[in-house]
This record gives sequence, C-alpha cells and structure tokens, in this order.
Amino acid sequence: MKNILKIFIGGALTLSLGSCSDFLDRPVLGQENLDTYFQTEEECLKQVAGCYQAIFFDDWWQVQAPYVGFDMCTDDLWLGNTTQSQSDWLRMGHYGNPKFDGPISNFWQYRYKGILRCNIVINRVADAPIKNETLRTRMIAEAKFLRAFFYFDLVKNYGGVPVVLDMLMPEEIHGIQRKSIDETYAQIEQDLKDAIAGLPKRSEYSSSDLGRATKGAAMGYLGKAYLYQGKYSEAESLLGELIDTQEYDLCTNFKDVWSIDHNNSVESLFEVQFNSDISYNLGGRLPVFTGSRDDSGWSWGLPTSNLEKAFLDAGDTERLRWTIVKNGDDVPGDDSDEAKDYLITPSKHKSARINRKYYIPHAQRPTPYDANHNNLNHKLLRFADVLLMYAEAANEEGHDENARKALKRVRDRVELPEVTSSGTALRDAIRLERRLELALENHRLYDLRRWTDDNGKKAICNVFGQNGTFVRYNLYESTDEYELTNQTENSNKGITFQENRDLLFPIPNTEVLLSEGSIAQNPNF
Amino acid sequence: MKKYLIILLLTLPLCLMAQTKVTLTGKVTAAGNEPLIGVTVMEKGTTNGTMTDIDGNYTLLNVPENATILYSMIGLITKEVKMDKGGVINVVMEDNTKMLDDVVVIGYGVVKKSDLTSSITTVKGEALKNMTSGNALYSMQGKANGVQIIGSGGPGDNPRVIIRGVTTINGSDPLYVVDGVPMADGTNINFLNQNDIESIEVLKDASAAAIYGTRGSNGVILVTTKKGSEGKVKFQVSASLGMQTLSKPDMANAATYEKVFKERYENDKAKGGGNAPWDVAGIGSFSDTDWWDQTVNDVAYTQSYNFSFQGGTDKFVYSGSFGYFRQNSQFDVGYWERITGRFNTEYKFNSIVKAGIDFAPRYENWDDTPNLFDAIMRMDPTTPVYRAREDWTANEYDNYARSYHNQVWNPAGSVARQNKHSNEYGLMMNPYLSIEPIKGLVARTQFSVNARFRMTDNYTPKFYIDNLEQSEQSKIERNSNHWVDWTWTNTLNYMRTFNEKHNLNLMGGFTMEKFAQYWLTGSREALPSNHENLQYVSAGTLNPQASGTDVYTSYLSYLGRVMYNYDNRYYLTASVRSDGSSKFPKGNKYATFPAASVAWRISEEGFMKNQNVLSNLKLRAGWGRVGNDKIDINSFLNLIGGSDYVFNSDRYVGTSISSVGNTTLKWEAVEDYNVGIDAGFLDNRLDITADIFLKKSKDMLIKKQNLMVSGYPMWNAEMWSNIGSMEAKGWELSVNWKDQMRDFNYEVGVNLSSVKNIAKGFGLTTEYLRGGFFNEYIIKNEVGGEISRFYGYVADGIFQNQTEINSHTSNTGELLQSDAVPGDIRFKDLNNDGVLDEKDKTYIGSAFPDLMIGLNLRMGYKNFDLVSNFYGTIGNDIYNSAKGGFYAGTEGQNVFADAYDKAWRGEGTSNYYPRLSYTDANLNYRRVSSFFVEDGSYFRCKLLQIGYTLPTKMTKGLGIRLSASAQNLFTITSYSGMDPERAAMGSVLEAGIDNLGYPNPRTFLFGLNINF
Repeated sequence: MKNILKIFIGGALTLSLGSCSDFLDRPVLGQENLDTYFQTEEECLKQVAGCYQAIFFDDWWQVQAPYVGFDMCTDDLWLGNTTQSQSDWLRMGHYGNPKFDGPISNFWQYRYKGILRCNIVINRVADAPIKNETLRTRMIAEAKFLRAFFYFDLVKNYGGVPVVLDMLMPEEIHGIQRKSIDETYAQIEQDLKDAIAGLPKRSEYSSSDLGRATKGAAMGYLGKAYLYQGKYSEAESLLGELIDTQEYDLCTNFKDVWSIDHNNSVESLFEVQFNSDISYNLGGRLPVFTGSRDDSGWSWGLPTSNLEKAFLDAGDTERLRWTIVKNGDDVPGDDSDEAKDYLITPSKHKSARINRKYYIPHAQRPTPYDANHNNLNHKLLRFADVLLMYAEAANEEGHDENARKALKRVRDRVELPEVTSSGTALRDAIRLERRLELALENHRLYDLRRWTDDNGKKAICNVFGQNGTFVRYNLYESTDEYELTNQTENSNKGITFQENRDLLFPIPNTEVLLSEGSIAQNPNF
Repeated sequence: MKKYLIILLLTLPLCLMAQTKVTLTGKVTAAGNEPLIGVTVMEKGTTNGTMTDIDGNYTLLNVPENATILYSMIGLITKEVKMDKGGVINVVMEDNTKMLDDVVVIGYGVVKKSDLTSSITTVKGEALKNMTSGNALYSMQGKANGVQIIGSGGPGDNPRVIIRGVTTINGSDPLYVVDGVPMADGTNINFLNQNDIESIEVLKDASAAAIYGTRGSNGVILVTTKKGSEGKVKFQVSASLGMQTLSKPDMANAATYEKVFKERYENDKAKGGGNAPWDVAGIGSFSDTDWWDQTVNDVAYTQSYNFSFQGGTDKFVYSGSFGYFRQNSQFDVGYWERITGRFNTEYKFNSIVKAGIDFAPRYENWDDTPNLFDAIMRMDPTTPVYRAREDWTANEYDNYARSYHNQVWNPAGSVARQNKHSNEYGLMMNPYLSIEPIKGLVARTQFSVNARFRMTDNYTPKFYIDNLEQSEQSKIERNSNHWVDWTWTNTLNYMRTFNEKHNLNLMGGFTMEKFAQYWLTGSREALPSNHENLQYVSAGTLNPQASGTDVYTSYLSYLGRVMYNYDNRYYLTASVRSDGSSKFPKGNKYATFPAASVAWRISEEGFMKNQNVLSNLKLRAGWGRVGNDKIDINSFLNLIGGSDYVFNSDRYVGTSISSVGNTTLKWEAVEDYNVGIDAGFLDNRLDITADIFLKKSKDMLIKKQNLMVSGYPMWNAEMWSNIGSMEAKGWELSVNWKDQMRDFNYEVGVNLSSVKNIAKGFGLTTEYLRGGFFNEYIIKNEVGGEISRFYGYVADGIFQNQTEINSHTSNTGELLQSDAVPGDIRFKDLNNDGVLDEKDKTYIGSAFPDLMIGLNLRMGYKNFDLVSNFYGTIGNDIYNSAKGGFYAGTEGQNVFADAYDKAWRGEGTSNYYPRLSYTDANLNYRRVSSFFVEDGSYFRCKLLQIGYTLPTKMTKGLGIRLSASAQNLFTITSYSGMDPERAAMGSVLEAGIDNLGYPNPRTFLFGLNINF
C-alpha cells in the first residue's frame, strides 16, 4: 500500500513538474502573431493591403458616414432624415457642440487605427528578410502615402494632432501632445515626398495592381496639402507638373464620373476600390446611407435647395441633373420602373432631394442591397479637382491665363462658357466651380474653412451664423415648398455657428479626458 | 446503456436481503410523550428498515433475535437499541442540540460546522426543492445571507449573483465548484437538477475562498450532489405542474393613442409648424389592436418531474435520479427543456481503498425567447396585426402590417420569424480513488471530465413588410460548439488528535485543469423556400461562410492547508494556494494566495459551563488574499486578423493587426478581512450569526481604454491592464428561531445584509461613464464614490405658467430654460452659474441597495406543512428609462393608458408629468434627470407553499405529499415598471437601468411527492 502511495505521489509530482511549462503555454490557434510576421514578400503585401482597407474599413459608420457628415456641415447638405433620431448628426451639422458625439469620435479613432497599420508596415517592412528591393521601396512608399492621407484627413478636421509614427505601449503614449498645424503638415509633406519618390506611375503598375497609390496620386495630394496651407507657388508648380504628365484626363461625360461602369477611369487619381461579392464586406454603403427612404435608403445627407439654386443660377443643368434628384423626377441613368417619377416623400426627407452621385441604378444593385456590397468606387481625388486646384493656385500667384485654361477644361465638359475674368472675380468663379463640380464629394467644408473672403473672414463665417448667407436664405429668402414645410429638421441650421470655435471640429471629449489634458481641446468647445 | 445501469442498481438491494426471524413493533416518542412521525427504524448493518407513522408506531419485519436496531431522524440523536425478545421496543428520542455538528463542505475537504473559522453559508437541498425552478440559484434567493441573487423570468435565464459586493469591474460571477470540480468561467449552473443537490455552500470570505486562489475573489459556490447511504433503497417521485402569468401593463387603446399623438403636434404648432403625419396616405380605417393580447399568452406552463433512489450496504452505496424540466415562455415560441440523469456510486474495497464515480448525463433543448416586451408596448395600436388580405403574398412573413405611425417592427411578425433552436448534450464524469494507508492519512485522486456539445440553428426568413422592415435574403446559420473540460485533483489529508486536546488536520494537493472549446460555425443565404425541411445550411444557395477554431485555458496549482484546534476552544486555519495560468504572460504565470483565520469557542470554556442561556458562542476572524483572472485569453499577444481589400476589382487577401497585447499583465488580487460571531441560545433554538467584512482589490484587471491616438485595433483602444482598485464593505446578520409545541413546529429565519461598493481607482481615468441615454450617460462611476450611481439633472416640478419660466433665471436675469413653455420640466441650476449645463448634474440615485432582506418561514401542524420565502432589497433606485416614451409618445410610440390624463394641461394639472410635446425642445424626456429615477425597493413573496402529507394508514406505507404553491405571489414596491427585480439587473458598473427585459412571472404550481 505504501508503494501505491509512493507511485501516486511520485507520479503526480513528475507529471506536474515535468509538463507544467508546456501545459500553461497554449499556442494561439487560428490566428497569426505579429511578432513572427513580415517574413515573406506575401506577408508584407498582405499588411500593405490592410493599410488600404483602413481607408474605409469594412462598414459604413467608421469613415463613410462621417465623410457625408462633414458635408452636412456645409451649405450643400441637410441632415435630411426626418423619421429617426438625428442626434448623432445634429450638433455636428447644425453647429452645436459635437464633442460627445459618435461620428467625431469614430472618425478620429479609425483614422489612428489606419495610421498604426501604416506605422507597422513602414517600420517592419524595412527590416523584412525579403530580396526584392524595388518591391520593398514601393510597399513603404504606399504605406507612407496612406499615412499622409490619414493625417491629412485629421488635420483638415481637427487641426494639429498628435503625430504617432510607431506602435507604442500605453506608457510611451502617456502625456503625448498635439503638434501644431504646421508641424502636422510637415509630417504629411515628408511622407508624400517619400511616396512620390518611391511610387510607380499609374502606367507602370501591372493591371492586377489597379487601385494602388501612384506617384500621380501622391503629387495630387501634396499639391492639395500645399494649397490648404496657402503655399500657392509650390502648389502651382507641383500640380502643373502633374497635369503635364498627361497620365490623367477628364472623362468625356460628367455623368460617367460617378458610374459603376467607369470605376478607375482616366480621371481617377485615387479612389476606394470596391467589389460586390456578397461573401465579403468589400463594397460601399453610401448609396444606401444617402438614398431615399422610399427606395431602401436611410436618407442621411440630403442636398439643399441652396445648392440646387447655385446650379440653376450658374445655368448648370447638366451637373445639376447628375448631382441632385428631386421628388417626382425621373432618375437620370436608371431605366427601371422604380426610377420613374421617383418617390422621396417630403415628410420623411427634409428637402425631398437625394444625392445622385452615390445613387446606383436598380439594375446594378447587388442583392442584398442594404449591405456593404455596392461596387461604385468612391472617388477621393479626381483630375477635375487637380485642374481646379491648379487654377486656384495659379490665380493666387497672378497667373490668371493658366488658371483660366485649367478652368476652361472643366467647364467645357459640361458645355458652360469660358470664364474670362481675372483677379478676385476669377477667384470667385473658380470657387463656385469647385462647389458645383465637386459637390457632395467631401471637399466643400474644407474649402469654406480655408478660403478667405474679401471682408477678411473665412468663407464659412459668411455662410453660417446669424447673418450667414445660408441661414438668411433658409429663414427669409427660400420659397422651397419641401424644406419650409418639413421642420422636423429645423431650417435655422447654422444659426448657432461661432466664428471663434467652429473652424475646426472638437477633439473627442473622451480623448481629452483620458489624456488628462495633455491633448488640448480646440478653443471654445 | 442507461437502462441497464438502472436495472442493475435496482436489483442490487434484492440480492442483499438478509434472512428473517421475528417481527418487531413499537412506538417512538419525543420527550413529553409526543409521537414522532417519520423516524427511520433500521436493523443495523442491513437494509432492513421502516418508518414510524403518524402515531409514532412502527412495524419491522424479519428481525434476527440478536440484532441491533437504529432509530434516527434529522434533528434527533440517533439511538441504538438491542433487539428485545418480546418483539416490542418503545423508544424516547432526544433533540440533537449539537446540530452545530453538521458537516460543512469546504474546498478540498469537510469540517464540522462547529469547527468553522471562516464565513461559509450552507443551504441544504431540502430547502431548495420547495421551489420549482430550472436553476437552483433562484431557490437560493434570500436563504444565503450576503448573497444577492436577482434574475429575470425567461426560460433558462441566468440570474446575477453578487457575493458580498463587488471588487472588480469584470463582473461578479462567483466560481462554481460541483462535487469538487471547478466549472469554467461563465457557467450557468442551470445544467444541474436542483433535486440532485444535497447542499450548496457559499464561501463568502477570503479565508474560505483562498483555497480556490485565482478564481475566488467573487466568492465560491460549492455544490454537492446527493450520495447514497447505507440502508434500504428509498425511492422518491415528484411531479409539479405550474402556470406562469405576467401582469399586463396598462397601455393606451387606439382612441387614447390618437389623442396623445395629435396633442403632441398641436401643442407645438406655434413652434416651427411640424408635420402632421397622422393622415397616412392609403389607410382607410384604423384598428384598435391590443398588441399584448396578440403576442403574449395568458398562461405559460412549467413542468417538472423527478424520480430518484438511493441506498447501499456497508461496501457499496449508490444514488441515482432522472429529472425532466420544461419552462415555456409567454410567447408562442421560446422554451427550455432539460432531461438530467445522475448516478453516484462508491465502493469500499477494504478498509484502505475506496473508489467511486459520479456520472451525470443530460440533454437540453431550447428555443430562444424573443425579447419583445419593449416593442409590444411601443407598437402603435391603430395598426392591425395583418395587412389587408388582398395584399397578402405567398410568403407568410410578408403579411404583417407595418406600423402606421412609428418605426417599431410588428411584434407579431417578430414572434413568427423567431427561429433559433439549440440542442445540448452534456456528460459530467467524476471518478475518484481514495486510499487510507494509515489511520487518518487519506490520499485521494479525482479525474473529472465535463464534456458538452451544443448545436444551434438560427433561421432568418426572407420577408418584406416595408422598406424599413424587411430582410432581403433568407439565411440559415449553424453553430457547433463543443467543450471538454477536465480537472485532475490530487490531495493528501492527515487528521489526528494528539494528547486528546490537540486536533490537527493537514491537507496538501496539486491540481491540473484544462478548459477547451472547439467550435465551428457555417451559414448560407437564399434558401429555396421557408419550408422547415429546407432550413439547413446545405440548402442555402448563396454566400457560404464558415469559421472555427479551438480555445484553451489551463491551470496548474499547488495547495496546502493546516487546521489546528486546541481542546475545541482555540482554532487556527491557514491555507495557501499557488496558481499557474495560461492566461498570463511568461514571468507572471504564477501567483500565490495565502489566507488565515482564527476562532474562539467561548461556550466551551470552563466558565461557561454553569449557565444555560447560551448554548453556543464563537468568535471568528479571518484574512485572505484571493484572485481574479476573468480576462480574455491571449491578452498578452500581438495578433493578426484579416483585412481584405480590392485591387483591379478583385478581392485581395490582406491582414492587419487585430489586437495589441499587454506583456506585463498579472493577477488581480483582493484582500479580504472578516470578523464574525456565531451564537446559539436556549438549546440552540435561537441562532444568531453576524459578520462584518472589508474587501479591497488591487491591480484590478480592466479592459482599459487607452488614448485612441495609440491606434490600437481594439474598440476604444481597450487593452487588458492591471489598474485600479475597488472596495466593498458591509455586514450580515442572520437570526433563526425554531421551536416545537406538541403537533406544531415552526421555524423563522431572517437574513439581513448590507454592502457598499466604492471605486478606489480607475488608473488614469477618474470616472467610468456607462448606460447611454440620448447621447448622455446615465451612470457615473467616480473614484472615491459608490459604483453604479445615476448622474443627471434634478427635475424640480413643472413650470405652471410663463411667469415661473421667466423667474427661473440666472443672477443677471437671463432665462435658464429659454426653450421652455408652460408644462415643461424645471431643472435646477445646481451650481448657480446661470446656465443649465453638465455642471448642474448630480448624483440622483444609486443602483445598489442599502439592505437586502431574506425572510424564511416554515410551519408544520400534524400532516400540514407550510413554507414561505420572502426576498427584498431596500434603498436601491431604478432608472426607469422607458417611462419617458410611455408618457411622451416619442416618435409616435404607444403610451400608457393614463398618459393623456396625467399630462400637464394647464395650470395646476400636474407638477410631475410634463405637457405632451412633439419636439420636446425643453428636453423633458431626453435629459438624464431625476424624473426617471424611482425607488426600486421591493419585498417579494418568492414562495408560498402548503403541503399535506396523506396519513400513512391511508397510503399503505407510502409517503405521499400533495402541495400547492405560488411563486412570486406578490411584491410590495412603489416601483411603477413591470418588475423591480428584473430592472435591478445589469453589469456591476451599469446596474439598475430598466430595459424592459423578461419579468419574473407569477407561477401557481401543484405538486405531488411520493416516497417509498
């Protein structure tokens, strides 16, 4: 019996001591580990693809909806939806204080998530044991392009932000502070310059790489970064150089710009690539997000009659047709029965209008439609924008001849007459052209924030506020039957705009609290 | 297989029958000559036995002349009498005043109750089985002091258990240990048939729980199942049938709804000219639908049937049971059904070696219960259930009507579409071998396996009711999960008394545990039709999806304990456990958890001998450190997940970081102090136990939110970290009185306890906000304050007229509520800064109670018995967040029947309910305010049961008892919502917000028990 006991105790001890180290070290199953990754070209390329995925992530709410939300903060869009709670968008779009609100916080959070992905690629691909140096250079340049794109998205919306260039542990991040706007732009410029040096031209990529960042895209964004900072001379020369490469041109018809049949057209410098395979979330949701409530849409971000009026005043019927659909219109480009005498019930839609640019004809809709499966690529930078940026920079630099030439190319396509003015009149013509050409494509807000009007104020200060043009239009001038009747969204949008506050969005409140103040809030929020 | 085993077990006792000789008769009485009913009379060393009848008489057949007869009954001292040649023995039995000497199960051992040095509450199986419930925890409510158990009433629902307050942000679930086997995190112990439970012990303080080290910080609940005992085989059959009812909320009919709906717009017309969507195009006439009646059944049935047996010889003891339980939900869908079996056996090979096996198979089957009370109450009563017959399609799910006036989905349609079904097969096997080579030294090894297999099918039909109420594609999903958990427990126990006064009990051991989950899930869309024969993944035609992996957690632990007492007067217990866990990174895998406790039994001192008031008096004090490891596995690793993108219109497989690990993770530790007193008076007829305790956690494991600029892929950059601290302190008092007078015996027990949970630190953050409400938070957990308190504006009545609005101003005369009109709520400007903003919020309620009360009554008179249990909490508040909508008709939802009458409608009409408003510009219903806070105190009759035992003369020796009972019979509360108990649930930092979950039903039951 004592033997049994001995064996029992002995066996137990042997087992426990001998096997304990293995026993408590369970390998991770079904998932790869970052610390042993970046061993092959394929692994590096997969992580680069992960950086691209961070442009929109896999659903509507991280980035796509905030993009529309930013346009709601302009004179182009209402919140629009008058059947559901508007509170996510109300304080943002109507100039309350949105520092507690989800979209402001989600956008911030997801841009930094994308930046971490780029940081990992930039820092680890550099040391990866791969032999193809050309590929290594390109991959790092792609990640730098995307990192610059993400920081650009941040600086436009929030001002100078904390610049993080590596994967840091919480104690390393503790106490981090915001960089100034200039310092943030300096980082963006540096990354874009590296990207220009390292990226192939669009024509140099193989067709299977269609959709990757190109040298042209990097030049376009660097030009835009110059323009946003008022570095007109740098902008003019770089954008001029880009136009002269002749890699890009305008689509023949304006209606083709936002058409599934013309994804990655000659006009496209950079766009989000979509695919409609219903087994994956690889498509967009904006057609649904901005669509008519009566056509499986959610009716967020509806065009204003003020925008419609801008088209009409400019005699711009072609672009109006392809930008705004109004209740009772036949939707252009959609032959289906549903698109005839199209229903956008006024009581459910602030303006009874929807955005035609994101609209998908019924025949081209996947099933299910209300899912992340729509394959209308989202245009982020297109050649018309490059031409207009160039025109603006040239005008600022006093080269009105060049400015008019570029402007003419854009207007010729929609058969509008050439602008012959100069100086500030030409400047105003270019500004109006940007509003009409690029309407509802998430440019307007930043244009309004950066343009200085003749009274010395930023343009947005003359649009909103008690005496803003848009506020006055809606309260006193407009005769629009739909907008006036449907007051579930109040027509006084923007009346609470504050010049000393609303040129930027607030940093998400939780971020300021969590940082114990090291990340300072923007003034007056 | 099961069948053969039963036959084997049933035939065993027959083979063991002894030879026969004399017939013995007699009468058993208590002191005072009262006859004693139900005393077991046994021939010693055999299975030959009987019981006394109502007059205390008994007859025992076939007794050898030299036999010894045993007389036993719970609560009485067992008597041994030599066989009398005349064949008549009358016995007088005495009360067992040493009831204290019940054996109490502690971790890895047992002790006599009188020797306990720590705080452990025992609830006997007898006390549990009066309730008919699928989960023994519901039957424990109010019976274990210091244990707050509150639940909801849906089939198979798992109640929330908090033992002595909360010291971690990570939930409050205690560790469940069934027959010595620790269960996996998140175990719902409803897999146990409560009729199989011999006792439940709750280890409340750390000096008791520290032997379970790492997982003990929320307390430990030890469940011991029934074992066989030497003696004749005994059978028990029980059956009960119950009818559950829910009290129906009083909602508005179509006419009242219409009045409220219209008045909301009319009242606001002056401001902004809102729409009048009452006139919905294309609707001829309105219905008057009572959505509750259309979807909720008046009665839902529960059924419970049990059969059990036990018996044994001096070599072999066994017990077994079968049970069936079923609870239906109040809807046409949703139920939970369970079949359990349990066979416990033990065989003594000789005086040294014994072995046994517990074997418990089970089968569960459930249909998910939809959570629709909110939709039912909000749905517009003017809408019919179905749309016009001429609009019907071949798809039955299309034919429900869309709400005319709001966005609520048709609840009848939701019930019809609900189709999620699970099957689970489980087997728990618990073989053990115990060797006692030297008297007092016992080596024991137990290897238990708990295996479960669950399959869930979830079908969503394709349907179209409206653009906003449709599913574009049908979908079928199957989840297959199996879990295999094993535990190997090895202990060595040595017990000896030296010099008659030094009592020593040593225990050492080591354990290995592994919890493994293997899962696979697959789905497809676009099934050819809704036919049930096609609701399988193979039938889907589009979008095949699959995923699956294995998940492991493992532990390796060493443990030891010394229990010593001197002369049953001075006690010392010390224990230590060292735990290793796979959840922590290298270097931090192991942690040690020590504990010590002492006790002084004053009543055993010489100077106490000459008094007879105090029959027992013991002081206890204990300290211990326990841990908590409820974190996700792999929290210390940097992992990668899929991030596909598209190039050239084709999918491109991409990857990206999916979680960033914390390589410095370590155990959360809780330090716990407890001081207690046990006292018995008047021969222990009066029993008092009181404890005070203090628990404090450190290195609390929090899924901590980091700065989002870190870019961590986890939501809000949350990373498991050791940060923060919480404290729980409180007291418990139990008073129990029992007495017997001739035919009448009774027992009254009162449990009172109180605990305060204080947040001591959240790392870098000073507050944790929880409970979203219109973009605000209801709950603020602030460092230094009690957890789960509501934080909002103070509603200060209703503005009766414009003058009152005009006088509600800042010092400089500016209006505080410029959007208000008469009939709106006045909110207080608490800081007097002249603006109504965040700074005017204050604590307006607390979700945790000041006092928890359990009251347990038992009475017996002749053949009648009565049991009643009450449970309640005092001083907790509930945030009745749904109330706003039910008075305001927000977004066209339905309202309470009295909403129209109660609303302010001119000066003096109400100082509480605001006017009806469409825009709610004053944010009456959208601000977190004291308007929503109600006293959540309640006192509930959990059980009232009357039983009648048929006279044994009538039943020829069968013990037959009939009972009628009511569960949740009545509730005393001022809370206006459906169920204050259900409403008080929620996670520890987000409790007390009423979300209209499944309320606890009132149930009437009829039961039958047969013993033979």
